[in-house]
Order: sequence, then structure tokens, then C-alpha cells
Amino acid sequence: MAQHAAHKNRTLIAAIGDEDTVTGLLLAGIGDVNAQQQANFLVVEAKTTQEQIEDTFLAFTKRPDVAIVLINQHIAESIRGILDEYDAAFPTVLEIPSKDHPYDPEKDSVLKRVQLLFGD
Amino acid sequence: MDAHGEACQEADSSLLALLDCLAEYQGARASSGALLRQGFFDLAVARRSAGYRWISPGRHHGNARCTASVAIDGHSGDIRLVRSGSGHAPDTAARVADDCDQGVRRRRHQHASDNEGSEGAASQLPPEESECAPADPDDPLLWFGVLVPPALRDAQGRFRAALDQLVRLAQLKAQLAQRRQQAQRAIEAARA
Repeated sequence: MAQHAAHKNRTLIAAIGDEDTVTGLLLAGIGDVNAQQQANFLVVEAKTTQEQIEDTFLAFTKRPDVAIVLINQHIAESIRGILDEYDAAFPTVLEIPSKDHPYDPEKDSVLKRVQLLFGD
Repeated sequence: MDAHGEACQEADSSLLALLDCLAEYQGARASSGALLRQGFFDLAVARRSAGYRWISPGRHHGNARCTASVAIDGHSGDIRLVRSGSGHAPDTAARVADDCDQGVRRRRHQHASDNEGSEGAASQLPPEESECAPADPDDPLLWFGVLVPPALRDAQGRFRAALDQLVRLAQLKAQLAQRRQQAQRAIEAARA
């Protein structure tokens, strides 16, 4: 219970995605820029490096006000090592489909963990 | 029933609970995926009419605050979506748009009637019928201008609905992790 109470200040939904995904999520109202001018979203373009994605993901997971991190599944693939190691309850990381890359259950880390239990 | 039988029964019920949760997770995945797909399509249609560069994350104001956030229950750890401001729900927004259209039609019809000589009809129309609800100043749709393509409004509705499902997915993910641990413990107890 105390563990959940510690996460009460986590209110933001952060996003790492391609232009369409981030535009849609901003339209839905998740966009936020705090007093330190830190945005809670990253648009991944062709010129965005893997290092930038990793740094942003780690920054989002360390922020005390982020509750959910949404990341496009094809972008998550590029930082799979970090994602597989990440097992904290909050912020919750969710892999979502993008316009050009539909959701692939084979790559879903949640389903992978359940498969491990069944020994598949 | 002996202790081993009870442990096996416990393991069975834990696994069934896990599978139920998994089915719910996959259902939420499917519905959120469908909503996102429709949202991407609407966004593409909006870009076609308004211009590719116009509809991009670059329109986000540097000082804009979020209108959709989450609240974590301190007791149970449940996550729920919270919408701030007076933002219209997507269906409400569509209804408001329809009402506005009808208002215009009524005025046009009324104008035609006036031309035909039926004077005084304007005073019979209740004033609220020809008025639209004021726009929410925090609505992200306003970053793209006042007269946005209808497809962009539709896209916003889809992404809002998808966000509801994504928050539910986050909730289900936490439940799945909890049930997986319970099932693992129950299986180990049954094997021992």
C-alpha cells in the first residue's frame, strides 16, 4: 500500500514514437512541458539516434511524475535490451503499434513473460 | 483432500485467473490497435486536406500542460485516466458540430422562408438553438487553428478513445504481472 502511495504523484503519460503516433497522442491531450522545459514526448525521426532514444527512455523512467511510458513497438525493438531489463511497476512501459508497423504479439514483453511461465 | 491435491488445485485456479487476465489484455490490445489504426487513417485524411507540415507535433505549444493524465490509487495501485479542463468528449464534440450545422441549416431555411414572405419566424426560433458551445481553450485541436478539418476532429476522438484503452492496458499489465507471480508460486508449491 505504501508502495502505491509513493506513486501518487505520477500523473503524466509519456510517449516515444513516430510523428503520427506522437501527433495523435498530443491531440488526445498527453503533451506536457514542465518548468524545466522538459517535454514528455519524443518524436523519433530518421535522424534520431539510438542513443537519443535510450537516453529519453531512461530519463522518462527516472522522472517522478511519469506514470506510463508509451513507445512504438518498432522503436522499442531498437532498445530491446534496456526494455527487457526494465521491470519496475512504475512507470509502466507499454509498447504500441504505429501506422507502418502493426502490433506483433511475438515481440510483446508482457506476453513473453507469460510464455516463459508456460515453458514455451 | 491431501496437501498436494490442494496445492495442485491452487495452481490450477491461479493459472485460470492468469489466462482470464491474459484474454482481457489481448481484447484490450485488439480494441486499442483498431482505434489507433482508425486514428492514423483520419490523421492521414486530415493531412491531405490541411497539408502535411501543418499537422505535426511541432504545433504543440512550448508551455502547454496536459489535459489527459492518470491517477494512481494509493491503496490498490489502480490506474485511471483523468481529463482536465472542460474538454468535450469526442461524441459531444461531434454532436456540437452537428448542432452547429443544423443551426446554419435552420437559418438558411428561415432566410428562404423570409424571402417567401413569412415574416416574424426569426423571433420564434429559440436563441440557444442557433448558438454553439464555446470551444475549450485547452483543447489541443486549437493548436491547428479554429477551422480544422473534420477528419482531424475524428482523429482526436479516435486517439482519445485509444488512450482510454491504453490506460486500461497499463492496468491489465500490472494485474498480469501480479497473477503471473501468484501462478508461479502456486506451481512451485504444487511441484514441491
